[in-house]
Amino acid sequence: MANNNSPRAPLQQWHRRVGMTGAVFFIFLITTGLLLNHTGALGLGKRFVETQWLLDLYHISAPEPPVAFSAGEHFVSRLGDRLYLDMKELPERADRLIGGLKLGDTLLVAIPGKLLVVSPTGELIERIESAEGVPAGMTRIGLTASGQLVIHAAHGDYLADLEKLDWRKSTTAAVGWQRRSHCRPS
Amino acid sequence: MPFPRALAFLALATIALSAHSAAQGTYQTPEDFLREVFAGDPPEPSKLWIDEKLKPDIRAILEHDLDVLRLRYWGKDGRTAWILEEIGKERPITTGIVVDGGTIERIKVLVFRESRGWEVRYPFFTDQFTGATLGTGQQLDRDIDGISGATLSVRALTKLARLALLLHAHSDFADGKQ
Repeated sequence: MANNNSPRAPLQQWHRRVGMTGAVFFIFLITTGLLLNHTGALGLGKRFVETQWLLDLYHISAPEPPVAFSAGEHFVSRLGDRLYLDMKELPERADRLIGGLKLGDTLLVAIPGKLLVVSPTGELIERIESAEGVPAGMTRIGLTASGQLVIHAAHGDYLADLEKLDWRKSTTAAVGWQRRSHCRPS
Repeated sequence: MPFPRALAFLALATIALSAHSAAQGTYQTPEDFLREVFAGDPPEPSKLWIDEKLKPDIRAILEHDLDVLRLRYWGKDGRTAWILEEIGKERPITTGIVVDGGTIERIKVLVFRESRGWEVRYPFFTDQFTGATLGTGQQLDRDIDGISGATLSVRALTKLARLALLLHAHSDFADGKQ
């Protein structure tokens, strides 16, 4: 039996308290972990949180209205973080759609830090990223009168050749910049 | 004095959450990785089309198709560098891989976005791949020791190592080509 006057007594008392608190925490983790591993069987994936303070805590808000760009006879759009070419979802997520345009036989979708080259049928041909030279801080894309891609980025405008991955500073003033439009329900 | 249980709970929760946030991040940008690999002068990127001949082998390695039809890579003197991504559990792990003459020269986790499994970034794990080649059945010629608690990240990196070796073999810099 522990002696209450022993110098170890307060330490043992604190050890017990911390242990008990920790045990509650770990039992909570184990229980919720087991539940999350059986999300499908328990139907948790079909139940949505509606409590406002909990949604605020996790910074969950209603998605913005869809944003779309006209790209030739196609439309590139974003709903929430999902990207679409016409009605087909693209295999990439983004919280911002910078632009989308027709470039030769392909379509180009610009999202923060990336250019997606997409076929007219919605297949992702390739991702071009900062490692390939995509200028940092891209904010809009457009075309010159001769159909060359221009990127407006943090350090100015760049004439881009996506085949050669050549990015040259541009002073061309005559650029048809893409303008976004909000989708309207049909 | 009443024991401040709420404080103890908060302290434990903070420790747990800070461990998670420390796991995620950009350890090295792909541009810096390429500069380092090619001594400050990375070559122009080359293109590799994922054709119908290559697709089944990629599917056998990744257990799914690549979601792009074309990949860029950097090659010089029989060495190629690849920036590849694979999902560990939920988020892609961006990895830089260098292949020299059909063997892995180095593998490095560049961006880790998962909440756990970040131990795969450490050299004690990645060094296991150095010198690995692709054997029969698109498998590595050696066993890679796993890490407890990082099974899915280990699996993702192992797949990427195998993929880089396969892609190198189909690149313009494979043995005997350049």
